[in-house]
Amino acid sequence: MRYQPRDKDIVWEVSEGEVLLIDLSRGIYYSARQGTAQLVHDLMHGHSSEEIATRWAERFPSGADPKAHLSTVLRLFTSDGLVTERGQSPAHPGPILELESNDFTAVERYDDMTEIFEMDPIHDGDLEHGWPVHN
Amino acid sequence: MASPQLELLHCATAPPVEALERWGRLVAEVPVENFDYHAQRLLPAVWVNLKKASKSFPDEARLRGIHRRTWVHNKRLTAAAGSVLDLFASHEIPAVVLKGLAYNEIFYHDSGLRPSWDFDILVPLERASEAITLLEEDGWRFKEERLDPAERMEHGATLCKDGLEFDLHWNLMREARNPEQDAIFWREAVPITIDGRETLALSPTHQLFYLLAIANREPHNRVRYLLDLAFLTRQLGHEIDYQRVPEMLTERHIASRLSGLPLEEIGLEQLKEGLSPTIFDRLWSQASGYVFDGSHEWYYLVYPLLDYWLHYRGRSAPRWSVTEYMRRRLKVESAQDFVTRTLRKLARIVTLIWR
Repeated sequence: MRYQPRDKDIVWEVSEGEVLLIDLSRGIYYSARQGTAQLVHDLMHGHSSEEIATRWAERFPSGADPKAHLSTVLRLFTSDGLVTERGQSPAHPGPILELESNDFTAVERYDDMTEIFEMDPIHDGDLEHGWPVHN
Repeated sequence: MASPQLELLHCATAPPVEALERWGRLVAEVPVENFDYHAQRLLPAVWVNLKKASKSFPDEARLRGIHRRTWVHNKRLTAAAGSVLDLFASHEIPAVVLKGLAYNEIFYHDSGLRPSWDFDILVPLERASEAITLLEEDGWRFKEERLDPAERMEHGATLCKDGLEFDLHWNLMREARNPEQDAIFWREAVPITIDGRETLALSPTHQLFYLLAIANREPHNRVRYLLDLAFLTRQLGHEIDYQRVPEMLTERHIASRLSGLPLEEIGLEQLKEGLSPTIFDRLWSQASGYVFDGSHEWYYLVYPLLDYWLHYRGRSAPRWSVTEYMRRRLKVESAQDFVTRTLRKLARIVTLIWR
């Protein structure tokens, strides 16, 4: 199964190995790091969940199986209406993110944009992850 | 060490390894927690430069967080600006995007690098009333009093919607509000794509002119504009007519704005050469730096008199006598009110000098 961002209100970008994603219409902010960032990146670029899992198994043969984690991510994204199924395969799926980490971390979800914008990134930001993770 | 803001400018623009050394020295002396708001606004650019040299440096996560926060906010602004541009395009109202919105696209190429509070769009003066009507129908509201663009009392107004702010300009700048002064900006505007929409931006030469004009208007934001100037000239310097820019500043009586600007910090000091602003220019450069709200005693009457001379004297639209203009500008109710207020202002000035 392949997916795509719901519409132009879904904005995302990779920054230093982290996928930042916003649903502008609903004011929800998501962050995916490490192995999860790679799953989300490839998913948003139109690669199928099967292709992503296969690539993962080749890259990390003895590592964790990404299928369960991919299901969790997809459940979150589909229930939030962040992605929709692609009607057909893209002629040229976008680039893949180089696999560097097979650590899966949960997608962070912040559903109150006002609240995270009120947070001072210098004084209240987490010293390891920075805004919007609170210290 | 230079002021923290200037040092941050170097941390954002110096070769990355040198910037990293400067950053280490700076935060050893002034902890990040002690940076003021205006210094904090330079931090995303510092992070982008430092990470070219190393993945790990003091306060890396905090800086990364500020970059991330800037990216999120700028994406929200860009989406809102896109809706406004769609609205204008559907009624064939031309639009020039200004400041952060344009800079992110033209020379930063990174939506997280320059924190913006709002976005700015210029429309032609003769279409501004129509643009305001459309915006109000779309839910935008004036932040302060409603202005009539035809009166040209200001160069634009701030509108608000859904917690976001937007500066609608009908003149490029407060300092030069005659329609013929803006004509060249429209004539030489260049295409730009914002959030997938085709629109316009100032030409590189006019970007430089505009940045120089506004950089010293807001002293607290001066270094931030120096950063914009550094990126603009590095990336588009070959397209800029450097001789024309001081001429344009002189024509608009704001050449002395350059005198207090530390252009040497970014290698643009040659722009100051040969400028000889008159007393009138010096006064206008200073007085027009403020939104006239009657609270700046030093420029009480100075700004309105110069403004009348430059923008209303002998003009038919609007055809105002100096008395009529003063009545509107100062919101004077009677001759007695005017005299009383003037005397109060003078008393305050004398008190200030005495102290």
